[in-house]
Amino acid sequence: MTHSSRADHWLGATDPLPLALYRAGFGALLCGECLTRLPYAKELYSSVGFHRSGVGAWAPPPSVAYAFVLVAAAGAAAISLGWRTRAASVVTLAAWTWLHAIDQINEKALHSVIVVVLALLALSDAGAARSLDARRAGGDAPAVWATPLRLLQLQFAQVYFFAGVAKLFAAGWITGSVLQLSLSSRWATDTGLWVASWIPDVAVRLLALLTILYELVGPWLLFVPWARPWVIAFGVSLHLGIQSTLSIGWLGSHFILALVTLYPDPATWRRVFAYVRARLPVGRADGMTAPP
Amino acid sequence: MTAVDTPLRRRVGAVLLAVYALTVLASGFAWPLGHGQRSLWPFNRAWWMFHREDGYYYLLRFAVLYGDGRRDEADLDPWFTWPASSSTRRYTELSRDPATLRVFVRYLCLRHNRDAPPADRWRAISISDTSYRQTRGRRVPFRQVPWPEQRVTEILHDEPCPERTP
Repeated sequence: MTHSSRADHWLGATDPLPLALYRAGFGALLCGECLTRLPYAKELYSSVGFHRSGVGAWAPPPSVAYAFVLVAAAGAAAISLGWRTRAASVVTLAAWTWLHAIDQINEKALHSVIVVVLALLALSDAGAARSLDARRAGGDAPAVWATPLRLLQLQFAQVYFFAGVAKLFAAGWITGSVLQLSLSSRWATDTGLWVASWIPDVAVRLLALLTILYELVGPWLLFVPWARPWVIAFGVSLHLGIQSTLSIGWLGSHFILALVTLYPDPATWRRVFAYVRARLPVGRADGMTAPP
Repeated sequence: MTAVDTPLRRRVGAVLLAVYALTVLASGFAWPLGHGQRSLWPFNRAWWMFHREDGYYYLLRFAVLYGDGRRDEADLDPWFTWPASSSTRRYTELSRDPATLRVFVRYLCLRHNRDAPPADRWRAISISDTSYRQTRGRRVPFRQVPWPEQRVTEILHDEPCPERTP
């Protein structure tokens, strides 16, 4: 890659499809998360609940807390549909960050990743394709600014890498004991408990080492075209395994979404869409009727 | 260059990438280099999934003292319904440092005493942390754990409730 083409890659224009697919999936996942939290808004975000964060003292009355969660859910739905995408991203970022700042007792890695993602979506042209915004503008944009997409790619890659660094320095990860104990911890799902009851220690240790190896090396290889499909396939398998054995909310689904939308060559997705469209029994996937 | 690929966007993009890379790299390596306090939010919250696990279940328990000297165990679950994990509520995730738990005692007292009849008002609360070793492949409820296998640490003893509710 020449200096000029490298600059084009990071700073120039790019295909809008990866951002559009990620935006649609992320918005749907976040909307689901907000709706799951809605019945608990009084406890989690209102002045009636208990908070230990810097802004906990300014937690709003229950009715306002419910309204904030509804705003975040509606904003996330708008992001998913690509309706007023940039404005929806800014509103959802403000609402989610405020809620996240109040409930620090229950804070998880997933929640801070959402803050960064919403900020990057607000910066991006994520609504330029496969969206209501694009339909209103007369069709998908042929290209969008590449930098927000690259920043999103870097965001997920760095989470992998530094999670791997943290495990490398943590006592018990290399030996597999942390993973073994996690499978019987309060975070374990019923499947996790079942796996823990029969899996040999040596297999757990191997899985722990593979996890660390993937987290340290995978994020670099995601940017190497020949290695990318293998890293994505391994990453999806890893996340499916974690998701089925440990209660981590939608962290796994979010990372799978990022792996399959943000990193592959957009031509791959276009081939998938063409394949599906050719096999649809009536009309076309974009709603247009096929010519006779 | 296309309409979306402008010199201004390229300059902004270069600055954003540089700031992002510097922030993330500095934050990411701060902790292993012993300067974790220098890492920046929100990046420094995303790296600790299942970072450690000591093999124990932990449970905070609350013994309340009434005005007439009666003692009872308080059930906080009706106030904390969000499932923090498969077997715990949000209050179980609280830090065990006494300062945090004193603030929690104040919160519990104010919330209970506000509506309770005078005879049922709480005068003080003791908080203990009960832990027991996990059983591989099984989720053993606290009530089924034999007493000798429970490790109980009293963190606060008869921490007084505030005198008046606001």
